[in-house]
Amino acid sequence: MRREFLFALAVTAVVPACGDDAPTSPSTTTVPTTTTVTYVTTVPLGGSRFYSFTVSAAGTVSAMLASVASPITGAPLAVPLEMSFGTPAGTDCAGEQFVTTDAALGIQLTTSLPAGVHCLRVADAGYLRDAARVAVRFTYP
Amino acid sequence: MDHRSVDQAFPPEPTIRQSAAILLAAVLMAVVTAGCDGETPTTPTDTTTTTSTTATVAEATISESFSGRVAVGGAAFYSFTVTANGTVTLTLTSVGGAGVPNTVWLAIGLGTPSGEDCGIGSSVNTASGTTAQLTGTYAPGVYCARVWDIGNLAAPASFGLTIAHP
Repeated sequence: MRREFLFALAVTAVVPACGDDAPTSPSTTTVPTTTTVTYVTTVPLGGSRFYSFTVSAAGTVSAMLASVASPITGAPLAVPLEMSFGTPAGTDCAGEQFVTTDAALGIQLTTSLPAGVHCLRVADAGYLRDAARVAVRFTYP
Repeated sequence: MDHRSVDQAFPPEPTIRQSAAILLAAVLMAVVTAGCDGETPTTPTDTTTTTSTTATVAEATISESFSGRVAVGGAAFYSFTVTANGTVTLTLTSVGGAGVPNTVWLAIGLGTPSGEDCGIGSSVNTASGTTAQLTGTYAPGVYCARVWDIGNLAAPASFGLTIAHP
């Protein structure tokens, strides 16, 4: 009888303990969204152009100078331009992160920006001989 | 008839001791699980805390002058940074140019830089003067003041705009 009692005790031991778990709070998963802009403009000789945008949450911004071409013929120009991220100020964009680069298919400028209004600026770095039609593709949160 | 094969097909009757053990196990399981109350999951409740805050509205302490030119049907804008929640005022101080009467009305507005322009939130049509024509309260951030032709110009106009902000 003792052996059978031990068997019965063993069976009860494997019964799962009563769950008295506290309710868990539902978790919110935020999927970061990004906006991509292709900014096409004409940079005058010795001048600059800028584009303002609003970063909704602090994060990484990146830009690619996709093309530089003659506004008249459309022929590609192998001319480096200055590209920067900054803050709109006065009648310009006060650049804070700069790069001077040729057009290429790849990220040439990346940085972290806080939430708020920022701008992307494209300027003649001193190599233009005439105005240039440029396309910049940039992404921000 | 082969009695051995019949015995193998049907398991033997449990003994009294085995039956007692099974009964004991069942009783113990019932006792243990009786402590489990059938609680249903509760729905988490959101606690909303209402706080009362009094926003301080700072006075304009910075004055910026924007002198520009508006083409016929065109616009110009100027960006500035508000560093504290406070009052922003715009004063169109002058309008002029060849073929442009100094009494001509233009539109002035406040907004946020967006794309290649200034996205306007509030605006007013006005002639130039010495007192602020547009006033608003703004949180810290980057804003812009815009001046544009509302159809009155027959020639490009030069203008002076004073922006006061915290």
